[in-house]
Amino acid sequence: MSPIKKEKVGLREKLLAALGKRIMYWRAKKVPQLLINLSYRETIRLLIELYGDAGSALKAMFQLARDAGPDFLNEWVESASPIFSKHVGDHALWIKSGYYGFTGDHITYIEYFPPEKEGDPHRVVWRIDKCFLCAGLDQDNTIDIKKEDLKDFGWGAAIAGIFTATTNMINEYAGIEFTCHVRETKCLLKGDPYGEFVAEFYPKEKDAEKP
Amino acid sequence: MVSREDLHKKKGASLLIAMFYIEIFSELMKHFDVGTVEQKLRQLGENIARSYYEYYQPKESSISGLVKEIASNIGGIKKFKLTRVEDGFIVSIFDCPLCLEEIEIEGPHYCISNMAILETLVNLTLQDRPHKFRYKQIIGDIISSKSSGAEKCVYHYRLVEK
Repeated sequence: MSPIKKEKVGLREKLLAALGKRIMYWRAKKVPQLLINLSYRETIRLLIELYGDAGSALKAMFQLARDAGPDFLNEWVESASPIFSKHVGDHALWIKSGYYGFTGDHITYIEYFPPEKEGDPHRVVWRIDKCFLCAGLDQDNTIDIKKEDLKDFGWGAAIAGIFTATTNMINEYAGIEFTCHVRETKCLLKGDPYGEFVAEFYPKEKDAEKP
Repeated sequence: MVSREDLHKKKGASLLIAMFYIEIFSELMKHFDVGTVEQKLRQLGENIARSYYEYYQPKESSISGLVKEIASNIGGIKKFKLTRVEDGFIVSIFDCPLCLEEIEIEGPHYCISNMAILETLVNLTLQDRPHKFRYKQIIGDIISSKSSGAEKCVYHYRLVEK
Protein backbone atom coordinates (compact mmCIF):
# COMPACT_ATOMS: atom_id res chain seq x y z
CA MET A 1 0.00 0.00 0.00
CA SER A 2 1.49 3.33 -1.07
CA PRO A 3 2.01 5.95 1.67
CA ILE A 4 1.15 8.68 -0.90
CA LYS A 5 -2.43 9.91 -0.72
CA LYS A 6 -2.25 13.25 -2.54
CA GLU A 7 -3.90 13.20 -5.99
CA LYS A 8 -1.84 16.04 -7.47
CA VAL A 9 0.94 18.31 -6.24
CA GLY A 10 -0.12 21.77 -5.11
CA LEU A 11 1.63 25.02 -4.31
CA ARG A 12 3.03 23.65 -1.04
CA GLU A 13 4.74 20.72 -2.83
CA LYS A 14 6.07 23.02 -5.56
CA LEU A 15 7.63 25.29 -2.94
CA LEU A 16 9.00 22.28 -1.08
CA ALA A 17 10.51 20.97 -4.34
CA ALA A 18 12.17 24.32 -5.07
CA LEU A 19 13.72 24.35 -1.62
CA GLY A 20 14.41 20.61 -1.40
CA LYS A 21 16.37 20.40 -4.65
CA ARG A 22 18.71 23.12 -3.41
CA ILE A 23 19.19 21.40 -0.06
CA MET A 24 19.81 18.09 -1.82
CA TYR A 25 22.44 19.67 -4.07
CA TRP A 26 24.03 21.53 -1.16
CA ARG A 27 24.25 18.35 0.94
CA ALA A 28 25.63 16.15 -1.86
CA LYS A 29 29.28 15.21 -1.97
CA LYS A 30 30.41 17.17 -5.02
CA VAL A 31 33.17 17.05 -7.60
CA PRO A 32 33.84 19.30 -10.63
CA GLN A 33 31.54 18.49 -13.54
CA LEU A 34 34.69 18.15 -15.65
CA LEU A 35 35.64 15.07 -13.62
CA ILE A 36 32.19 13.62 -14.26
CA ASN A 37 32.47 14.48 -17.97
CA LEU A 38 35.85 12.77 -18.35
CA SER A 39 34.93 9.77 -16.19
CA TYR A 40 31.89 9.25 -18.39
CA ARG A 41 33.99 9.49 -21.56
CA GLU A 42 36.40 6.87 -20.19
CA THR A 43 33.54 4.58 -19.16
CA ILE A 44 32.11 4.78 -22.68
CA ARG A 45 35.59 4.17 -24.12
CA LEU A 46 35.83 0.91 -22.14
CA LEU A 47 32.30 -0.08 -23.12
CA ILE A 48 33.22 0.48 -26.80
CA GLU A 49 36.17 -1.85 -26.25
CA LEU A 50 33.82 -4.44 -24.73
CA TYR A 51 30.88 -4.10 -27.12
CA GLY A 52 32.56 -3.09 -30.36
CA ASP A 53 30.99 0.26 -31.29
CA ALA A 54 29.66 3.48 -29.78
CA GLY A 55 25.98 2.64 -30.36
CA SER A 56 26.26 -0.68 -28.52
CA ALA A 57 28.35 0.97 -25.77
CA LEU A 58 25.69 3.65 -25.21
CA LYS A 59 22.96 1.02 -25.16
CA ALA A 60 24.97 -0.84 -22.49
CA MET A 61 25.44 2.43 -20.58
CA PHE A 62 21.68 3.06 -20.66
CA GLN A 63 21.02 -0.43 -19.27
CA LEU A 64 23.75 -0.16 -16.64
CA ALA A 65 22.49 3.22 -15.39
CA ARG A 66 18.90 1.97 -15.36
CA ASP A 67 19.83 -1.16 -13.43
CA ALA A 68 22.11 0.68 -10.98
CA GLY A 69 19.36 3.19 -10.16
CA PRO A 70 17.54 1.27 -7.45
CA ASP A 71 20.78 0.73 -5.47
CA PHE A 72 21.89 4.35 -5.66
CA LEU A 73 18.69 6.37 -5.75
CA ASN A 74 16.60 4.81 -2.98
CA GLU A 75 17.62 7.44 -0.47
CA TRP A 76 16.75 10.28 -2.86
CA VAL A 77 13.34 8.79 -3.65
CA GLU A 78 12.53 8.40 0.05
CA SER A 79 13.71 11.90 0.95
CA ALA A 80 11.72 13.41 -1.93
CA SER A 81 8.49 11.61 -0.96
CA PRO A 82 6.87 14.75 0.61
CA ILE A 83 6.51 16.17 -2.92
CA PHE A 84 5.03 13.01 -4.48
CA SER A 85 1.45 12.57 -5.62
CA LYS A 86 -0.49 10.00 -7.60
CA HIS A 87 -0.60 12.10 -10.78
CA VAL A 88 1.65 10.88 -13.58
CA GLY A 89 2.03 14.42 -14.98
CA ASP A 90 3.75 15.52 -11.77
CA HIS A 91 6.82 13.62 -12.90
CA ALA A 92 7.80 16.89 -14.64
CA LEU A 93 8.32 18.49 -11.22
CA TRP A 94 10.18 15.49 -9.82
CA ILE A 95 12.47 15.16 -12.86
CA LYS A 96 13.29 18.88 -12.69
CA SER A 97 14.09 18.64 -8.97
CA GLY A 98 16.15 15.47 -9.34
CA TYR A 99 18.22 16.87 -12.20
CA TYR A 100 19.06 19.97 -10.19
CA GLY A 101 19.81 17.91 -7.08
CA PHE A 102 22.47 15.93 -8.93
CA THR A 103 23.97 18.57 -11.21
CA GLY A 104 23.16 22.00 -9.81
CA ASP A 105 21.89 22.86 -13.32
CA HIS A 106 18.39 23.95 -14.20
CA ILE A 107 16.41 22.21 -16.91
CA THR A 108 15.52 25.04 -19.28
CA TYR A 109 12.31 23.51 -20.63
CA ILE A 110 10.09 20.76 -19.27
CA GLU A 111 6.49 19.99 -20.06
CA TYR A 112 3.90 17.29 -19.46
CA PHE A 113 1.76 16.14 -22.40
CA PRO A 114 -1.32 14.02 -21.69
CA PRO A 115 -2.20 11.38 -24.34
CA GLU A 116 -3.73 12.93 -27.49
CA LYS A 117 -5.63 9.77 -28.36
CA GLU A 118 -6.35 6.45 -26.77
CA GLY A 119 -3.31 4.24 -26.59
CA ASP A 120 -0.81 7.11 -26.63
CA PRO A 121 1.49 7.37 -23.61
CA HIS A 122 1.57 10.23 -21.14
CA ARG A 123 4.78 12.10 -21.91
CA VAL A 124 7.15 14.42 -20.12
CA VAL A 125 9.58 16.22 -22.44
CA TRP A 126 12.59 18.18 -21.21
CA ARG A 127 15.50 19.99 -22.78
CA ILE A 128 19.02 20.77 -21.70
CA ASP A 129 20.88 23.62 -23.40
CA LYS A 130 24.25 22.86 -21.86
CA CYS A 131 24.99 19.18 -21.42
CA PHE A 132 27.85 18.46 -19.01
CA LEU A 133 28.35 14.96 -20.43
CA CYS A 134 29.11 15.84 -24.05
CA ALA A 135 30.93 19.13 -23.35
CA GLY A 136 34.24 19.34 -25.21
CA LEU A 137 33.77 16.14 -27.20
CA ASP A 138 33.69 18.06 -30.49
CA GLN A 139 37.34 19.06 -29.88
CA ASP A 140 38.49 15.90 -28.10
CA ASN A 141 41.16 14.15 -30.18
CA THR A 142 41.41 11.17 -27.79
CA ILE A 143 38.09 9.70 -28.87
CA ASP A 144 36.51 9.75 -32.31
CA ILE A 145 32.73 9.72 -32.09
CA LYS A 146 30.70 10.52 -35.18
CA LYS A 147 27.01 11.27 -34.94
CA GLU A 148 26.13 8.27 -37.10
CA ASP A 149 28.03 6.01 -34.64
CA LEU A 150 25.53 6.82 -31.89
CA LYS A 151 22.69 4.93 -33.65
CA ASP A 152 19.46 5.06 -31.58
CA PHE A 153 21.14 6.59 -28.54
CA GLY A 154 22.55 9.99 -27.65
CA TRP A 155 25.71 10.64 -25.66
CA GLY A 156 23.54 11.18 -22.57
CA ALA A 157 22.34 7.56 -22.48
CA ALA A 158 23.21 7.45 -18.76
CA ILE A 159 20.78 10.30 -18.02
CA ALA A 160 18.03 8.39 -19.84
CA GLY A 161 18.92 5.27 -17.83
CA ILE A 162 19.03 7.07 -14.48
CA PHE A 163 15.65 8.74 -15.09
CA THR A 164 14.09 5.50 -16.32
CA ALA A 165 15.10 4.00 -12.98
CA THR A 166 14.02 7.02 -10.93
CA THR A 167 10.60 7.48 -12.53
CA ASN A 168 9.79 3.79 -12.11
CA MET A 169 10.93 3.88 -8.47
CA ILE A 170 8.66 6.87 -7.85
CA ASN A 171 5.78 5.10 -9.64
CA GLU A 172 6.19 2.14 -7.35
CA TYR A 173 6.59 4.26 -4.20
CA ALA A 174 3.60 6.51 -4.96
CA GLY A 175 1.40 3.74 -6.35
CA ILE A 176 1.25 5.28 -9.85
CA GLU A 177 0.17 2.43 -12.12
CA PHE A 178 2.47 3.27 -15.02
CA THR A 179 5.74 1.98 -16.41
CA CYS A 180 8.16 4.57 -17.73
CA HIS A 181 10.83 4.47 -20.41
CA VAL A 182 13.06 7.50 -21.02
CA ARG A 183 14.62 8.12 -24.45
CA GLU A 184 17.12 10.76 -25.50
CA THR A 185 15.52 12.20 -28.62
CA LYS A 186 17.94 15.04 -29.35
CA CYS A 187 21.65 15.28 -28.63
CA LEU A 188 24.05 18.20 -29.06
CA LEU A 189 26.68 15.75 -30.30
CA LYS A 190 24.34 14.75 -33.14
CA GLY A 191 24.11 18.40 -34.18
CA ASP A 192 20.78 19.13 -32.51
CA PRO A 193 20.42 22.61 -30.96
CA TYR A 194 19.79 21.14 -27.48
CA GLY A 195 19.60 17.84 -25.66
CA GLU A 196 16.07 16.49 -25.34
CA PHE A 197 14.67 13.61 -23.32
CA VAL A 198 11.20 12.11 -23.46
CA ALA A 199 9.76 10.06 -20.62
CA GLU A 200 6.88 7.90 -21.87
CA PHE A 201 4.43 6.46 -19.38
CA TYR A 202 2.34 3.43 -20.31
CA PRO A 203 -0.33 1.91 -18.08
CA LYS A 204 1.10 -1.17 -16.39
CA GLU A 205 -1.35 -3.63 -17.94
CA LYS A 206 -0.66 -2.30 -21.45
CA ASP A 207 3.07 -2.48 -20.87
CA ALA A 208 2.71 -6.10 -19.78
CA GLU A 209 0.99 -6.91 -23.11
CA LYS A 210 3.97 -5.59 -25.07
CA PRO A 211 6.13 -8.31 -26.65
CA MET B 1 28.14 23.35 -26.25
CA VAL B 2 29.47 24.25 -22.79
CA SER B 3 33.27 24.41 -22.56
CA ARG B 4 35.33 22.06 -20.43
CA GLU B 5 37.07 25.05 -18.82
CA ASP B 6 33.67 26.06 -17.44
CA LEU B 7 32.98 22.53 -16.24
CA HIS B 8 35.96 22.63 -13.91
CA LYS B 9 34.29 25.47 -12.03
CA LYS B 10 30.85 23.83 -11.85
CA LYS B 11 30.07 21.02 -9.41
CA GLY B 12 27.90 17.93 -9.66
CA ALA B 13 27.15 15.05 -7.30
CA SER B 14 30.03 12.57 -7.06
CA LEU B 15 27.36 9.87 -6.84
CA LEU B 16 27.12 10.06 -10.64
CA ILE B 17 30.75 8.98 -11.02
CA ALA B 18 30.30 6.27 -8.40
CA MET B 19 27.37 4.93 -10.45
CA PHE B 20 29.32 4.77 -13.73
CA TYR B 21 32.36 3.38 -11.97
CA ILE B 22 30.73 0.47 -10.16
CA GLU B 23 29.05 -0.60 -13.39
CA ILE B 24 32.19 -0.49 -15.50
CA PHE B 25 34.07 -2.26 -12.71
CA SER B 26 31.50 -5.09 -12.72
CA GLU B 27 31.53 -5.27 -16.53
CA LEU B 28 35.32 -5.51 -16.62
CA MET B 29 35.31 -8.19 -13.92
CA LYS B 30 32.95 -10.25 -16.10
CA HIS B 31 35.29 -10.09 -19.08
CA PHE B 32 38.86 -9.99 -17.74
CA ASP B 33 41.13 -11.40 -15.05
CA VAL B 34 42.00 -9.31 -11.98
CA GLY B 35 45.37 -8.15 -13.35
CA THR B 36 43.83 -6.89 -16.59
CA VAL B 37 41.00 -5.13 -14.76
CA GLU B 38 43.55 -3.41 -12.52
CA GLN B 39 45.55 -2.29 -15.54
CA LYS B 40 42.44 -0.98 -17.35
CA LEU B 41 41.21 0.94 -14.29
CA ARG B 42 44.63 2.44 -13.80
CA GLN B 43 44.63 3.48 -17.46
CA LEU B 44 41.15 4.98 -17.00
CA GLY B 45 42.49 7.20 -14.22
CA GLU B 46 45.55 8.20 -16.26
CA ASN B 47 43.40 9.15 -19.26
CA ILE B 48 41.13 11.29 -17.08
CA ALA B 49 44.12 13.05 -15.51
CA ARG B 50 45.83 13.76 -18.85
CA SER B 51 42.70 15.36 -20.25
CA TYR B 52 41.98 17.19 -17.01
CA TYR B 53 45.45 18.72 -17.07
CA GLU B 54 44.67 20.39 -20.41
CA TYR B 55 42.02 22.48 -18.67
CA TYR B 56 43.42 22.85 -15.16
CA GLN B 57 47.03 22.88 -13.99
CA PRO B 58 47.65 22.62 -10.24
CA LYS B 59 49.40 25.72 -8.88
CA GLU B 60 51.16 24.57 -5.70
CA SER B 61 54.95 24.45 -5.57
CA SER B 62 55.49 21.54 -3.20
CA ILE B 63 54.49 17.92 -3.69
CA SER B 64 52.43 17.84 -0.51
CA GLY B 65 50.74 21.07 -1.62
CA LEU B 66 50.01 19.57 -5.03
CA VAL B 67 48.45 16.46 -3.50
CA LYS B 68 46.26 18.56 -1.21
CA GLU B 69 45.22 20.85 -4.07
CA ILE B 70 44.35 17.98 -6.42
CA ALA B 71 42.53 15.93 -3.76
CA SER B 72 40.48 18.91 -2.69
CA ASN B 73 39.87 20.82 -5.96
CA ILE B 74 39.42 17.87 -8.32
CA GLY B 75 38.57 14.83 -6.20
CA GLY B 76 36.23 16.70 -3.85
CA ILE B 77 38.07 14.92 -1.01
CA LYS B 78 37.83 16.72 2.33
CA LYS B 79 39.03 14.10 4.83
CA PHE B 80 42.52 12.89 4.08
CA LYS B 81 45.94 12.63 5.69
CA LEU B 82 49.37 12.91 4.16
CA THR B 83 52.21 11.04 5.88
CA ARG B 84 55.89 11.16 4.93
CA VAL B 85 57.55 7.72 4.72
CA GLU B 86 61.13 6.77 3.96
CA ASP B 87 60.80 6.44 0.18
CA GLY B 88 57.94 8.86 -0.40
CA PHE B 89 54.56 9.56 1.14
CA ILE B 90 51.25 7.93 1.96
CA VAL B 91 47.84 9.45 1.30
CA SER B 92 45.03 8.13 3.53
CA ILE B 93 41.55 9.04 2.30
CA PHE B 94 38.50 8.74 4.51
CA ASP B 95 35.88 10.06 2.06
CA CYS B 96 36.85 8.51 -1.28
CA PRO B 97 34.48 9.67 -4.06
CA LEU B 98 34.53 6.24 -5.71
CA CYS B 99 34.23 3.88 -2.77
CA LEU B 100 30.91 2.90 -1.28
CA GLU B 101 31.05 2.09 2.41
CA GLU B 102 28.21 -0.38 2.43
CA ILE B 103 29.58 -2.50 -0.40
CA GLU B 104 32.54 -4.86 -0.14
CA ILE B 105 33.87 -5.80 -3.54
CA GLU B 106 36.22 -8.63 -4.45
CA GLY B 107 38.92 -8.17 -7.07
CA PRO B 108 41.56 -5.50 -7.48
CA HIS B 109 41.69 -2.56 -5.05
CA TYR B 110 38.53 -0.78 -6.04
CA CYS B 111 39.59 2.88 -6.30
CA ILE B 112 42.84 2.31 -8.19
CA SER B 113 41.67 4.87 -10.80
CA ASN B 114 41.63 7.55 -8.11
CA MET B 115 45.20 6.71 -7.14
CA ALA B 116 46.22 6.93 -10.82
CA ILE B 117 44.52 10.33 -11.32
CA LEU B 118 46.53 11.80 -8.43
CA GLU B 119 49.76 10.17 -9.62
CA THR B 120 49.38 11.37 -13.23
CA LEU B 121 48.41 14.94 -12.31
CA VAL B 122 51.40 15.27 -9.99
CA ASN B 123 53.73 13.79 -12.64
CA LEU B 124 52.47 16.14 -15.36
CA THR B 125 53.10 19.07 -13.05
CA LEU B 126 56.62 17.83 -12.23
CA GLN B 127 57.37 17.51 -15.96
CA ASP B 128 56.04 20.99 -16.72
CA ARG B 129 57.79 22.79 -13.86
CA PRO B 130 61.01 20.80 -13.27
CA HIS B 131 62.87 23.80 -11.81
CA LYS B 132 60.38 24.02 -8.95
CA PHE B 133 60.74 20.44 -7.69
CA ARG B 134 63.50 18.18 -6.44
CA TYR B 135 61.80 15.06 -7.77
CA LYS B 136 61.15 14.02 -11.34
CA GLN B 137 58.37 11.54 -10.76
CA ILE B 138 56.13 9.79 -8.26
CA ILE B 139 55.17 6.13 -8.63
CA GLY B 140 51.88 5.18 -7.04
CA ASP B 141 50.65 1.95 -5.59
CA ILE B 142 47.40 1.20 -3.82
CA ILE B 143 47.61 -0.35 -0.35
CA SER B 144 43.95 -0.54 0.60
CA SER B 145 40.57 0.65 -0.50
CA LYS B 146 37.31 1.10 1.43
CA SER B 147 35.17 -0.78 -1.05
CA SER B 148 37.63 -3.67 -0.89
CA GLY B 149 36.89 -3.96 2.82
CA ALA B 150 39.40 -1.55 4.42
CA GLU B 151 38.60 1.28 6.86
CA LYS B 152 40.15 3.87 4.58
CA CYS B 153 41.75 4.15 1.15
CA VAL B 154 45.53 4.22 1.37
CA TYR B 155 47.80 5.11 -1.55
CA HIS B 156 51.58 4.87 -1.37
CA TYR B 157 53.68 7.09 -3.66
CA ARG B 158 57.40 6.58 -4.12
CA LEU B 159 59.39 9.72 -4.90
CA VAL B 160 61.94 9.43 -7.71
CA GLU B 161 64.82 11.91 -7.50
CA LYS B 162 66.23 13.63 -10.59
